[in-house]
Amino acid sequence: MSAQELRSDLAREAPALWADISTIAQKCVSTIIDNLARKSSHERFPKTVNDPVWGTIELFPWEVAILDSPLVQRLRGISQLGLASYVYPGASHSRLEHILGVIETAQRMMNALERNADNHRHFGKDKDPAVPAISLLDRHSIRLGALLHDIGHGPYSHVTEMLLYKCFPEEFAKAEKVLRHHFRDVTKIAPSETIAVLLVLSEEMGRVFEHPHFEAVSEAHRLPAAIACRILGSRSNLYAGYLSGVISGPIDADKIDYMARDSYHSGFPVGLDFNRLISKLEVIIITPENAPNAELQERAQTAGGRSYEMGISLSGLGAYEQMIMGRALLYDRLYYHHKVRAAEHMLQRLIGVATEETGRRLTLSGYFALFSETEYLSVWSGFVRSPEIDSGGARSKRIGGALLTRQVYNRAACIAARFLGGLDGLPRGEREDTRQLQWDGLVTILRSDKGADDFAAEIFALARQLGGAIPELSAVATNLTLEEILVDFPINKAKLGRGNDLLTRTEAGRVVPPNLFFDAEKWSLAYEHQKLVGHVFAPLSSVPLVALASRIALFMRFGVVMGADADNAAKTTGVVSADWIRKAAEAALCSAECAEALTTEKPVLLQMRSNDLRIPADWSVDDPDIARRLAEGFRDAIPGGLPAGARKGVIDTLFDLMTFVEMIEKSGEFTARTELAEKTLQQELKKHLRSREVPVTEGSEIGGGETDLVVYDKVLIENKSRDLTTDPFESGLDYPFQARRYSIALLRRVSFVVLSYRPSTETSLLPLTARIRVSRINGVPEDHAEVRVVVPWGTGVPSKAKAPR
Amino acid sequence: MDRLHDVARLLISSLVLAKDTEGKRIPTSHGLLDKAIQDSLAYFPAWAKEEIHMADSRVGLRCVEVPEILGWAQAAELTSAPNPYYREMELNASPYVAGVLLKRLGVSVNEGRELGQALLRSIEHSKQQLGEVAVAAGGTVSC
Repeated sequence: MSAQELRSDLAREAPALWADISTIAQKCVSTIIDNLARKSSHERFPKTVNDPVWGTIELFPWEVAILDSPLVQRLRGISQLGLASYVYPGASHSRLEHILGVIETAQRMMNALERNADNHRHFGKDKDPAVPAISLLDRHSIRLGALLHDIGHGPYSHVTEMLLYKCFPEEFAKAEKVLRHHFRDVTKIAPSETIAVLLVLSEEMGRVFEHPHFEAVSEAHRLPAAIACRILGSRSNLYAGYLSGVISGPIDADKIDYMARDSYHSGFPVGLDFNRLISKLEVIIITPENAPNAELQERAQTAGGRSYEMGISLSGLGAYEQMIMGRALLYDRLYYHHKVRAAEHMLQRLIGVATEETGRRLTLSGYFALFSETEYLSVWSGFVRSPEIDSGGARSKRIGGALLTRQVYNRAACIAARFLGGLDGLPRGEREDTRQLQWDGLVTILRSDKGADDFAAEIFALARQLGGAIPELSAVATNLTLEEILVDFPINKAKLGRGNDLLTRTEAGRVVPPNLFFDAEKWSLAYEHQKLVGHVFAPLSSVPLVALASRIALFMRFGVVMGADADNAAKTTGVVSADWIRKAAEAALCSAECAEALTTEKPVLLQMRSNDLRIPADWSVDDPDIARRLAEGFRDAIPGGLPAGARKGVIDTLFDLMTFVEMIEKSGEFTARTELAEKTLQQELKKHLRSREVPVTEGSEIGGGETDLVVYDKVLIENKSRDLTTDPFESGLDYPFQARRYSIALLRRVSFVVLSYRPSTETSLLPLTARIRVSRINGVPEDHAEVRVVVPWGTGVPSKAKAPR
Repeated sequence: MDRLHDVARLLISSLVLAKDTEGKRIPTSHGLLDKAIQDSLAYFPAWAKEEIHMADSRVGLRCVEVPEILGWAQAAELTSAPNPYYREMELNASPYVAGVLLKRLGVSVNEGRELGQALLRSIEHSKQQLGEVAVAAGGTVSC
């Protein structure tokens, strides 16, 4: 595979992305060519720079030629840690500083591995003179890979990474496929890595590597692919295969440097023993006899009996575990600090709002202007104008101004599975089932940016309405804007790296993964899981209002309540008063179940199981599956479950309606009718319910509709009548949710509709057990079930005849 | 948007139904789950197959997405965390929850169970192979 073949594949599969990359490369390459043209590399001497982490770093002349160009100098204005400096003021080091550190780290790793390789050639009972030496191509492709691995980052790195991807989502995916096809062992590729690799592979950079004064290696035409492979962690294009993970791998120069550097600058110590870690790197010699699995066995066989990978000695495992645990702590305390997350989310929102206000999305090239991050922020916010990048308007200015003055939004609510409340009173098995299903419903929506943004919009709409109902929140509600409510659900942002792609050698000479006693990688995943929390962020002054709106929205949308621990985590204990909740319920902004759920600790939502339902005995005999079917219908429609206080009413109403259907059938009451008005249906139903001593009220008596009945004080039954009908359950029937016009709090998640219909065909006359169905109502914000009971009339069947089974 | 969260729900629900009882452990080390996913690809629905890629990594065959899938499974509370043994994950979901999740994904209980059984068969086979390789190399393996 030649570089030209690779370029052709990329140009064919991802033409627009490839063209944009070329444009970016073109702007930078002329400076590098000029730098190279002045003198041959061998007329210059390596340069030494000071560094706070490594002491000194030595750079070769061709590296300096690339370093002193817009391609890399742009990274001077891009911070390594984005907005973490808002919490850790010292954490303002740049990506430029980091990439120089990665060069030095990579060099030290190569030195250690070279020394170890040499030891293997000359020492030990299994000495192996054939352990490959590190070639010039290997060495310089690694160093250049270190220098260029981050050139694909935009301003504020990870915040803009997905925005870069969205410029060409399909082409990014295709480009990744091409890279995976050409290079072995490529796992996850971040968008910034794809950009960096494409820049390296561009025709323009090819001219740099093949410039007569570049002189790093004689096989200059091999450099682009080799550098790309180092950035991606691929085993391809490498003489000494054990070097494949030096830039991107389980123990790589990138991780070691950023952990050491981030810890140093932020002032957050993590105890990383990088000197020992690097010194304990080993060349692991894999043979068919000692291979830990069939794939490595085969690889060793194909390679003539031996293959070589980077690993770590047993005595280095402690340092490796330190690194893994330290990384978990850095993620929790530094990268995912809630203030950092809030600031990053504000920035993401700012970019979105600026795009709306300008009507134009930033192009890929736009993210690679020679601006610092602060300059980008100022331009997006509209404080500074630039001909290269559009500025937002008033809304952008509000968010950008808050960011520039560190008015970072506060936590109004915390969301996590371990905070789910109201389940303690349930039996253990049911508690776990309910918790998982509730959480599943919530994660499925909030896992995407769109889902999170839509939920933020719901909270905002509710907050505005609450301001109308609660005088002390009125002013805040009026001033609140949609942009100021952020729902941050970090699960969809956590980058979980491939772990344990590492080998070690036992005393007996076996090659094994290094989790002999303790799996540090899994420990760190468990730690991260425990610590990850979703948030609703809002400006400090609006936290009480948004806290209230969030709680109501969480219940109304997902049927969940976050318990007292969530308030502790968000520091919102006591912020929301019971009086506000009561007023919200009075204004019908919050159902009675919701109000009760937010103010008590009792179980709030329960699943409907088949053995909870009451079914007439005959019906269960005729249709043994009916209870399961109805229960499934409730589960599908309301995954979070039914409010505990209302579930019994629902179960009883279901049973009452089944008995009504049976009574009408046996009596032949509707058989001979030539018409059936809704009021008549209603009267028959009311008569039946009262005969069973069910508490029933006419809707009109309490300010509702004329053909509604309210039973058990909270369940609404709507009565409808239709003439000739083929399918009485057809979804085209659109019944408005009349509960909303009632001032008393009714069960809102379940609607009962009793529909009388005249069957148009024989098959439209349904068997008894098929005359009741539970289904989900679509097109409404909250989960909602409709129980529809259908009653045929005008069939002309004699009263003693039985309904079809 | 990738659907690795959905793949996690599918994977765990299928394993739960295949095992029939709760509280069982599934190995997550030594590439066993990765190989099982590759071997059982035919049983995955089309949308899930699109999310999965296999790589010939420096330590053997790996499914690129396994760490993220396991992360989602943990985040969704379908597997235990923290896991005291760390080489395995403990399935937390009940058959009831597994059935509901599969339904939400448009997968029948039978299809889910078949997928789970295929995964378990592969895991057992791979464990045996791993043991043979380890014994040949003069040791044992516990996973």
